[in-house]
Amino acid sequence: MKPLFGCLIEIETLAPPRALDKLARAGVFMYEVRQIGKTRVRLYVKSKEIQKIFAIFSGSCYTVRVIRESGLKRPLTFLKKRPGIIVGAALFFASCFLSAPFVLKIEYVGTGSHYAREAEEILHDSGISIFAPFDKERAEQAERRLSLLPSVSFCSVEKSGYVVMVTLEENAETPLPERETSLVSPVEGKVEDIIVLRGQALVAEGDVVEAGQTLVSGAENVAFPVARVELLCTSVFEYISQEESDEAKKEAFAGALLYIDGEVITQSAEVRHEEDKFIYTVHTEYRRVLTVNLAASNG
Amino acid sequence: MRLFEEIAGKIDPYGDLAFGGIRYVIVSGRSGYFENVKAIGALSSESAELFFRGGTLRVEGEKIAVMKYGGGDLVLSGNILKVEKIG
Repeated sequence: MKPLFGCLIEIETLAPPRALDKLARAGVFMYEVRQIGKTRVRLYVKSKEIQKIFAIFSGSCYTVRVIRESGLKRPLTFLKKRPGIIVGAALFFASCFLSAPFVLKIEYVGTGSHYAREAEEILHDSGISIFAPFDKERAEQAERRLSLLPSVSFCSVEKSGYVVMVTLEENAETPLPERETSLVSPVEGKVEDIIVLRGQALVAEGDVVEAGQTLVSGAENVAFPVARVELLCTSVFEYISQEESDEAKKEAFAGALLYIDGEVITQSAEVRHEEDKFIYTVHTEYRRVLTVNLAASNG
Repeated sequence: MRLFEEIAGKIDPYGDLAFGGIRYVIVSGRSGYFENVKAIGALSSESAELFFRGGTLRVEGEKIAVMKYGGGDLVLSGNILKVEKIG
């Protein structure tokens, strides 16, 4: 039980209880009185009554000594002697309070965070940038524009402290593929069938095409052709084995299939012996279907 | 202390509520609260003499110390075993 702003004093007198009574009659409240000797007593008093206490005991046979300050009085005295601390703390809190509306950092999170560059431009156009004040209306405006980014299903612009968190989430479903402007053959072969729903056919049935050749392109006023082409292709695959056997032949056929993307029509193999190895040469004839801007994938 | 007024009101509802005599309450083993204390006659860790307008009390116990004193109110800490009116 001590006063909030107090002092610990020591009174030296032949009759300590009388000193306590003197103080009590003068209206001074005493706390935690401890007798530390026959003639000495220590007690806590309110610091504002120190002068009054010295006045009470002045010119008498009582010796009063201030031992130390207690409670909040000590740090208060410490701060009074160092006003710079108070000024510095006040400046700090003032700067925190005044700078609270400003943005010091922008973070992009979520599965759509790879749109950071585009998002930054949108935020800047909306008035949200580093060292600029944050505004809720501008954030909502930026959110509306961010939601227009491709495959972005959710976006939010929120401020937490000095950091603006931009959350961009992409649609979990596979996005629609971009439309092609032409159909290019990835392999060489012979055109078996060609159907062009939109665009212009650059080859006809029976034509032999090479890898990389454009088969269908967009026509006038048609940017994205829609077409289907069947190619008859052949491939040659070599398989090296240590033995000549049906098993080795099967493995050769299987290995050839790994490099074929299409429907196998015929497959044949020749074997030749070189040194101590058997080389199987597999000839495969297969049909490859190519489409552009149709449901089936191109190539 | 409102407690005294409440007790006095129940015991003697028409009595003098401004009673300035000896009033105290003891919390066994911990502390004692005394009202209308005029002076402390003697003080040690085993005993204390308290002067009131209506008499003198002698308080005996263990580890007795003044926790608060002022305005006629006195709080003694310690294990108060005996309170005796001696005058």
